Amino acid sequence: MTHPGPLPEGMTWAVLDSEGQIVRYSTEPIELQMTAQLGDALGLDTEVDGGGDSQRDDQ
Amino acid sequence: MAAIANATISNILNATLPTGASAGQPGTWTALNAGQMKVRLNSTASTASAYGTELSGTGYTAGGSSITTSSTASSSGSSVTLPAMAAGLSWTNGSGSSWSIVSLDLTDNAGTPVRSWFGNFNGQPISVANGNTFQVAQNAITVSLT
Repeated sequence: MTHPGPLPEGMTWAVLDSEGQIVRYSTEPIELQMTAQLGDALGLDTEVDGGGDSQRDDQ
Repeated sequence: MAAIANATISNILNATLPTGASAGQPGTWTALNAGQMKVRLNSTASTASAYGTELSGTGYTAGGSSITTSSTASSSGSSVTLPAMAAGLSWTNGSGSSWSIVSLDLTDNAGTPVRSWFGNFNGQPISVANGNTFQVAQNAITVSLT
């Protein structure tokens, strides 16, 4: 089993062949993100429309 | 992609809201196993309620690979990145056939692991031919809660 060193700067994941050559890679971040929803439950609107009024958006 | 496992969602909610046994008090935080956390790879997408189908074969250890270096802790709501090891994490496929990698899970080190977070790899499915290596870079995974 090979034990490759660090990937080049900017790569998030890569596939390497048996000689250690990169054959596929990504530079997109791997993001695991969750957003809490208390504001929605309370009917609060954290977005402000163009007129400066804060209105509930029911979409 | 959103991704907290249901067990962890309930743990967070119960420990931070008045769900405790005593009236109006917060519930109890259920700590994860104190051993090194693990990254598990799957050939299908995980969901909040279930793991994806785990990879198998030579080159992949069932249950996932240990994270051997601690990440920088979150402060003031900042995200956490992992794995912190300089070489990241890697798996060399010796199974005799191709792997198709779709998602990952983060778990604790318990005999019956508790799953904390999950998500798909961008660009999935990622085909890794027999003899090839899949490598995740240092701090390539960003986890945030907003």
